[in-house]
This record gives sequence, structure tokens and C-alpha cells, in this order.
Amino acid sequence: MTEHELLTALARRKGRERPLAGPVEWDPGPSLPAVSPEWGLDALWERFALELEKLGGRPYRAATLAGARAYVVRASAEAARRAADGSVPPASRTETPAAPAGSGEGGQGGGGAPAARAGARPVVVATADPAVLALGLDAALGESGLDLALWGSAAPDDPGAGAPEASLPAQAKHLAARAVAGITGVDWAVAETGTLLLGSGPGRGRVVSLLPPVHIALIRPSQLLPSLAEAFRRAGQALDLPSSLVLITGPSRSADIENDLSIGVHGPAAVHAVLLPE
Amino acid sequence: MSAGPFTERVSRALADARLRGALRFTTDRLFRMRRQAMEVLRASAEQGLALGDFERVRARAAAIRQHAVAHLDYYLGQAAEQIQRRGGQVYFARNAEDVGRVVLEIARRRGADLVVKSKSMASEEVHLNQILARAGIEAVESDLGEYIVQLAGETPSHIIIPAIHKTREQVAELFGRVIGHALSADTPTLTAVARQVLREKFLRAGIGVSGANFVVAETGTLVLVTNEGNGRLVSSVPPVHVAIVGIEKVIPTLADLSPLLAVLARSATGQQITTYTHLITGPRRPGELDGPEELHVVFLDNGRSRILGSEYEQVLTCIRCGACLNVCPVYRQIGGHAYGGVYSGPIGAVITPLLGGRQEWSDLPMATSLCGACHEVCPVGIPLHDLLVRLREENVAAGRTEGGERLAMRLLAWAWSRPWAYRLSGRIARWLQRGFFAGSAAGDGCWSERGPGPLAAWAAGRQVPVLAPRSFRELWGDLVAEPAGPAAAVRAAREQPEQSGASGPDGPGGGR
Repeated sequence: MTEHELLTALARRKGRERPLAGPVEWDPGPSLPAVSPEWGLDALWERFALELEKLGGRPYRAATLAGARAYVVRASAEAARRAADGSVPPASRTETPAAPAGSGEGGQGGGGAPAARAGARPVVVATADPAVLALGLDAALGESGLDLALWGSAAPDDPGAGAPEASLPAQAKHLAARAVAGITGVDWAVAETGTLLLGSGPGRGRVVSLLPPVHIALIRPSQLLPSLAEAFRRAGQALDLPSSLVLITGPSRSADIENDLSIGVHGPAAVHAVLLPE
Repeated sequence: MSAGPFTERVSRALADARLRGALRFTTDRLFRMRRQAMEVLRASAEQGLALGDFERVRARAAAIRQHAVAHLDYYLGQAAEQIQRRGGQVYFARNAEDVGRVVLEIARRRGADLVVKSKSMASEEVHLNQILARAGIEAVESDLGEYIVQLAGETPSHIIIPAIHKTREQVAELFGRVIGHALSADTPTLTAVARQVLREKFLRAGIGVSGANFVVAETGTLVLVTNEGNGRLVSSVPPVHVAIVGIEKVIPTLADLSPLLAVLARSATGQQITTYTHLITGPRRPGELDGPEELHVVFLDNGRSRILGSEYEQVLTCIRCGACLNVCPVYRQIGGHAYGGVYSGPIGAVITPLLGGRQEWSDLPMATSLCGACHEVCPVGIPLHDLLVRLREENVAAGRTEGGERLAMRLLAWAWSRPWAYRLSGRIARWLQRGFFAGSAAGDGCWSERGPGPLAAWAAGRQVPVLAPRSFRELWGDLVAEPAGPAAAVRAAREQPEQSGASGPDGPGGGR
């Protein structure tokens, strides 16, 4: 059935000869509160942390950049430890050595995913957000025996530097799937509900906050908003929405087995939110 | 579907004590959490964070949905245009066959033999999994509950918690069969197995299939909410994303999403917001390394356009939260399978006959006590009980009732429109029941485990209310005769518990 057939049928059901063409009068204004409360940073963070903790998330307010760095390294090391002893569900126990044919991504490339080699160091994957780059995590993680892979650059232990361009997405995907933690910045964070908003873009892979068992989000003070309504107001005012904008509120959860809460069935089982200093 | 199978399904459900226990536990839990969430919403509104309390937000949510549905031709056209402008492909499917053709063509072109799905009511409506299986393509449900139900070869029994009817031991056995060894039945073990098995499927799948909770017309944005994250995975990891969406899901602007999400999560699970809300605007863009290379949106009619412009139009505003299931005295007893269709509960009793045929599904509008609890909790204010009555009226007008029922109704209509005959009917009923209920197991004299004649079927699954020994009309005569008048007498009666008139036929019935 064509679009014209359907829209005409719909119009006729509403007593119109043909589909409405011109803009329909509609005021979205009443969908949002007229004004948002003006909360200071302390009040915003207090509510955000409270809400995130209720859901089993872990908020941390860093006094200094060094403190933030130390926290991220600690959280990453803990993630690596738990992935090794299996106390959190590993991202991908059944390692996929190469992108399988038929996946449509670099099936012939041979580059594929960097395989987990015996003795290979755990990988932490991170987006190329300014907040992440500003933290200078590479050396600090390295001292703790962890490798940092920035989204979009080659995997640290991947010898296939000359792999065909087409297999880069497949590499990135499988790298994120075996990472012990994913570190990202945010677009906004919402105090009302403890929600993180992450948009996609170059350097900002959407699976960094999705495939690893642990997600560590870095928040700048100016990114804290009082309410979800305010976040929707900002998103609506933006010139262009990213291809993916996700609202993350706590760890992945399910109650599908006898109403019993289970954490981390698909997304991260742990969510850390780190407030950076002003 | 004739009367037989429906009553058989109901009997089967009523005889399943474990199912009824699980239903009661789940629906009570969801209802309690919903109520707490509404209190949190009120507090947030007082702080200026939210638009208002539940009544205020639901009024806005209802207005948005009604406006969008009333101008569906415009908003659907706008949504399609915007999706295409962002590089997505748009299709319009009249029915299951059309959806199958579109999806199979994409799978053939991509050489995909594995499809991962997140929960999509639209795809269940058209039985997409069977269509794919016939073409030799494996389709895996990734919502934990849907995966359990799929492994068991069954259908969901609750719109939000699909495997409400399975025990953890049954889940452990199903998962054990998948990985080839026995499993302990604790939640962390079962969760870890599901994560491992399904993660491998996600990484290998050629196509991800989802539905959409909303489509923002202004921006061409698909909105997908899940608590587990599978909605993000199907729309981020496979190289192709296909969304199968009912045509009624469009809303005008991004701002309108705010009140709708606010009532959706609170009504469904009592959360302030679902864990993951994914806004998808077109496929992967230049410079991005992940997200689908191709985005296909299939708008499904499947009978919806026939509802538009009819007296049932408001059902198209439904946002599929499941709140009406949890409060329904009928659903709470029989569960989702007894309804026989994809949608259950009060909303299922209305839309299944509308989409699937009033003749075939003529039993479903009878599966209601008409108490109106569904309307009271509906986040977009659909008058479900009114619509059920209208469907019943249609059944009567079309002669889809039995001879005995027609005779009884005619008799009642005759008798109860004449005061003397009405009074007489009450006296006769009380006289008749005296012989029957004498010696019945009813503890307080208000309820009975057995019922005479046609009430026997009723009593098989619940207690029968017993008529009070004296009617209200008879009591009223005495009350007026009291020196201080009826008001004082009523006050006095209230202070005295165990008044026989306190719990008449309209007492706390229905199992709520």
C-alpha cells in the first residue's frame, strides 16, 4: 500500500477529501512547565545522587580533576577484577575472533575484532568527549594494568592497523563488547530522576555506554539540569537531534523472572556518575 | 473464536492455582508501585520539576494523543517525510502479508539469517516470527520475558511482564536446554546465561527488529523504551534496524514526549522513567562508527484506519502501558492467555474485536465487570468501560447472543421498568435463595461458595454475593419512621458493625 493510499483513507475516515497538507495548529507549550526551578549546583547534585543511588547507581562528586581521575581508575580496576572472577556478567564470554560473514560489516576484511589473547590486558573503552580527554586517563589506567581504547582509534593490542576501512565499525563493536568498562561524557544529567543523556556522533560511539558491563559517565557542573522537562526543552531547541540520543536512568534492570529484580541482563550492571569540578 | 474456546481458556486459567497466585502477586506489586510513583510525581510537581500531578499530566497526555490521532493523516505524512529526510526508508503495510514482504526483502538483500528482536506488539500482531521462520530465518526475542516465552513455545501473558506465568525452575530448565547443562534457578545465574546467549546473537545478527513507543513527527524520531537495554541493542548493534510501528504512534513534537514518558513509565512499572529511553533520528551518520547503516520504518495499519473516525477512535490513543490489566478484576483472575489474542486485559477486550473481527471475538467484551477501574488508571483517559458496553450493544444488535440470554434480558427489562414487578423480583429472589444458601459455607452470610442455577458457573471461580435479608427499600421505611429521621438512623447504623444491609449485592465484590 502506498503512502498516498493510506493517508487518503485516513483523511476520508475523518471526513476530509484529501490529507491535510498545511501545518496543523498545535501549541506544544503546555507539554512542559513554563519555567524550571533555579537550583544551585549543590541542590542539583544532591537530588541527582539521591535518585541514582535509589536505582543502584553510584554517584561520586570529585573535588579535583586528580580526584576524578583516581575514582575512574579505581572503578575501572574494580570492573576488570569483577570481569575476571565472573562476579559481574562478562560482556562477551564467547569471544568472536572476527566479524562473521553475513554481518554485513567487514565480512571479508579479515581485520575483525581484536581477539582476547592470552595475557592480554583488560581494555577500557572511552568516547572522545572533551570531558574524557581532559582527564588524561591513558597513563593512569596503564599504571593499573589497563589499556584505554578511545572510540574511533585502533584497538591498543590490535596489530591489524592496516585493516580495510570497512571493518572499522566491526572492530569498534567487538572492542566495546569485550571491554571491562565504558567511559563517556554526557550531554546533560537530570537531577529529578538521576538520568544521563548521551548523544551519538563522531568519536561518541553509542555502544560505549551499552556493551561493557560497567558504565562510567563524567558530568560537568554546567550539564546538570533540574528536570526531564528541561532536558526535553533543550533537546527540542537544538538545531538537530543526533542519530541516537539516549536517556539512561540507572543500571539495566528486569523483573521478568518471578518479579525478582535482575541487574545487567543486557546493558551495564553498574553505572558510575562522576561530577567533575567546576 | 466461538464461546466454547474462550470459556475453556478461562476455565483452564481459573483452575491453575499457581498462575492465579503469580497474577495476584504481580498485578498487586505493579499497582502498588504505580501508586507510589504518582505520589513522587506530585512532590516533583510541587518543586516545579514536573508539569503537575497525575491528573494534570494525564490530561495533557490525553490531549496530545487525541490531537495526533484526530490529525493522523497529517502527522503520519510529516513523520514519514522527516524519517526519509534523515536517510531512513519508510513503508506502509496494510497487513501481516505486507510486513512480511518488506522484512523478507530486506533480509534477502542483506543475506541475513539471524534477526534479533526487542519487544514489539505490532510485530506480534502480524506474527513476524512465524513469517521469518518459514523463510528459514531465525528470529530471537531479546526481552528476557519474551525470550523465556519464546523458548517455551508460548505467548506473552502480560504486556509488561510477558513470562508472568513461568516459575524460575521452568526458566532454569529452558535455559539449561539452550546451553546444554543443568542450571541453578537463582536469578543472577539465569540473568548471566541470558546475557551471554543473547549477547552472542546481537553481535552476529544481520538485522535488529523493534517496535516504537512513539514517533515524533516534527523530527522523524523513533522513541524506544526498555528497562533491560535490548531496545538500544537492536537499534545500535546490527547493521540494519527495522522498526515495525502502528500508524497511530505519532505525536507532534519533542516537547510532547515529556508528559507522555512521565505517565508511561509510572503507569507501567511505577518508575519515574524507564531505564533506557532511546531517541533514534535516522541511521548512522558520516563519521560515526556504530548505529545501523540502514534504518527501515514499517508503518502498520492492520485495521487501525477502520477505527479512526468511529466511536472507538479513542482506543488509538493507547500507549500500551498495561495499567488497565493490573487493576482489572477479570484480568487479575484469568491472566493474558485466556483472552486468546495478542492484547489482553480491558484494552485487549476492546481492540482485539476491533482489529480482529467482532464476530470472531464477540466473547471478549463480556470479560469485564464494567467497574471502570481501567478508565480510572488509564494514563490517556480512554473510557474503556464505555467502549466495552458499546461493543456489547453491537453484539446484541447483530444477534450474537444466545436465546436464553436474550429471554432473560427481555424479562429483566420488563420487570425492572415496573416498580411493583421490581419489588416482587427482589422478594422472589430472596425467597429462592433462602432454600439454597441455608447451610452454605458462607461465613458472614454475605457470600456463598455455591450458587443456584446459572450462578453455579459463577460460583465455580469465585464467591457469590448473597442478597441481604431485607432490601434497602424495606430498611428505608423503618429509618424514616425513626423519631430523629433517616440521617440520624444511618449514623446510628454505621456505628453498629455487622449491619446486614452494609454489604449488599454491590458490596466489595469482584475480587479486588
